[in-house]
Amino acid sequence: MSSVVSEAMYIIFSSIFDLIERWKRRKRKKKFYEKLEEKKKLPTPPRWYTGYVRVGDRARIVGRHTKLVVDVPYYGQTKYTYSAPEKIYVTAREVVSPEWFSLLKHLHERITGRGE
Amino acid sequence: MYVYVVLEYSPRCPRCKVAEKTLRNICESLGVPLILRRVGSEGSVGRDRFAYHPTSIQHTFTEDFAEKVGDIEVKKVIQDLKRFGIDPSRFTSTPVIRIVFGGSRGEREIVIRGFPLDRESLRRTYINLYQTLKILAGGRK
Repeated sequence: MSSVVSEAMYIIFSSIFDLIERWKRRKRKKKFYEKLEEKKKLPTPPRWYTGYVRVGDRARIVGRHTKLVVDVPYYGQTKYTYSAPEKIYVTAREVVSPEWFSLLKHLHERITGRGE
Repeated sequence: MYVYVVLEYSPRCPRCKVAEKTLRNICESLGVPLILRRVGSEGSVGRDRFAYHPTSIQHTFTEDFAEKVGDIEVKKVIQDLKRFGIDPSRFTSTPVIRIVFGGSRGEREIVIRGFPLDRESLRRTYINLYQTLKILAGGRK
């Protein structure tokens, strides 16, 4: 009889402990994924990068030589972006024509958007 | 503000020779650097013959570019040529004169395709290019 009781107790307690461990594991997993999401939300620049990084409404400045990271309010600092050179295509016939300068002016205004 | 001129030339092209002579004259008198760039695959050295250097205007002879610019006639011509099996964007058309200038607002380029040969139009081209470069170089001597 006693062996049956002890067996039953063993099964009950072991299942309870198993449950507790599963909860703990679940908690750990949850924390891990939460941390990952936080990391995604606040991207830190790579170690070699120096310049501005925008983090939400704040700008993170990484020092050029000191590698110091400073968080400051965002005042319109932007990361450097490459802008392709604007090109004006003309032909030799247009260079020869006496209206060359007016054409250049017109094309330049079309590029810059000042004329319209 | 900086200005420089790039001439894309082919060694056997007569227009390129005239363009080079004219541009050399203008650039030397204004103090603007002139860079020569050989395009195509016509090289004197054996190795150069296998290397093909495209010009910077080859993409302008495509249907997409003509459509982007809004030139419907050119688009039709390119379509017709393609129907006969000719792709104009594959040709190396020389000379190409690139006047590159830039400042605080970014870089800009005036790309001129071709060069005239007759005397009167050469004179006009010289005047126009001289004036343009003089303005861009800020009246430097």
